[in-house]
Amino acid sequence: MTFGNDALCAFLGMGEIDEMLTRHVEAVFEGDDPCSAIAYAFTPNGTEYAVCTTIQYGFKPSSNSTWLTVKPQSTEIVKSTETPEQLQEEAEQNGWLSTWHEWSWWYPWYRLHVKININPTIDIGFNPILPGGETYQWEGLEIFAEVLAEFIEELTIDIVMLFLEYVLAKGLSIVPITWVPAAITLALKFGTQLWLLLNAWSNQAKMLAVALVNFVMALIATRVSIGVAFINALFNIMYAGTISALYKLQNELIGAAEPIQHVRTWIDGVEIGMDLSLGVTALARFLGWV
Amino acid sequence: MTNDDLSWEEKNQLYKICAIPMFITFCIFLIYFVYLMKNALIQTTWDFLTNVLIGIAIIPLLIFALTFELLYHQKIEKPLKFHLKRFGINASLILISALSIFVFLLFVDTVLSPYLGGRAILIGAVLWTVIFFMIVTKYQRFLKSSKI
Repeated sequence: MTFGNDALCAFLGMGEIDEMLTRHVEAVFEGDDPCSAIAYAFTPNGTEYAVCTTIQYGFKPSSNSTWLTVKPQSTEIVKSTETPEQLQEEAEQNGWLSTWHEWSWWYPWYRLHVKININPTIDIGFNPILPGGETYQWEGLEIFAEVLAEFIEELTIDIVMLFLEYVLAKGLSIVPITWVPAAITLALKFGTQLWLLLNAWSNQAKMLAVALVNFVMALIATRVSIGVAFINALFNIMYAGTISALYKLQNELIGAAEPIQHVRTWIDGVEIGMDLSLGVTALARFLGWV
Repeated sequence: MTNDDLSWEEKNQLYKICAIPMFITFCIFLIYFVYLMKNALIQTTWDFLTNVLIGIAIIPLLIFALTFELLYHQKIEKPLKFHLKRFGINASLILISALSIFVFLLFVDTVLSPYLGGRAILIGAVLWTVIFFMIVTKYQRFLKSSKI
């Protein structure tokens, strides 16, 4: 690139980067003496007049070059990519990744545990060959573990209640001898749920669990498949292996109650309403609104 | 009481309407319960039984029974005495059931709680439901067979 008057033309050399981060800089100066060029003509009486004017730069190319040494701002050096084996070895040496083995007399008899010791500590146990039976433990996130434990307990109670209610009350509603036993069962269920709410009133984790369970039960009352899908998703993510026995039992129980859900009765409406209202109350308590 | 002039679908429709005031009553009890809890007015099982459970076992059901008789009276032309008799029988049944659960849970709470822990009342409630269901079913069959 060439510029005219006092222009700087600098070429940053793409020289090799050495340890001192040295660049070869070359500056080229071309022409630094502008002058005005005027062409004159003369009239017949000898008067001089300009016919054209232009700017003319002198042509005195000059150049200079120097070496600039730049001090690096950071001393970090990016190393080349490590292999997965090297990364694992490094993680194990640092102490945040470890493995241990669990043997048991019952299925799946062996679990390989991978423990990731970040904050929180996550321990995942699985059998490389046999499906199911995975375990997940989150240390440092005790609130979730506590909520989950409470959730399972509350859900078990609610499933038993639901099962009793459907078998006892709804059966009567389809072949109505009278509505009284059904209504009494509903009232009793509501009373029992309030009793559970009372016991959980001062325990935040329990209250969240009660809220979750009531919402799940409302989903089940609305449509069994929705509730089952929700529970599947929740348990697969959080605690699949540990509750596998409960999960199977629960599916069987709900499966047993499903055939009588083909007919929608007044009990469904009250059931859904009760569960939702209790769920909202428990959630409000958990959030500290009441 | 067992004179079914309405089809099951019609009765089910009436039940659905009756469930609305019943559910509203449940909600009122829920609000009342929250009020009691917020002000720490429920300290013992006895408080819960007397302040909440006995009310839930009686009032929403009586409202359900009353609403049903009113709607039923509009559907079928029966003398008022017929409906009063039905309501009286149902109300008695509700009161007996409420009283029985009250006594039963009190017994469970005082006698079985030391052995069964905090869940005693829950187990008691489930047991009571099963027993009461059996009694009521037999009672209704008796009524049906005796043409009352």
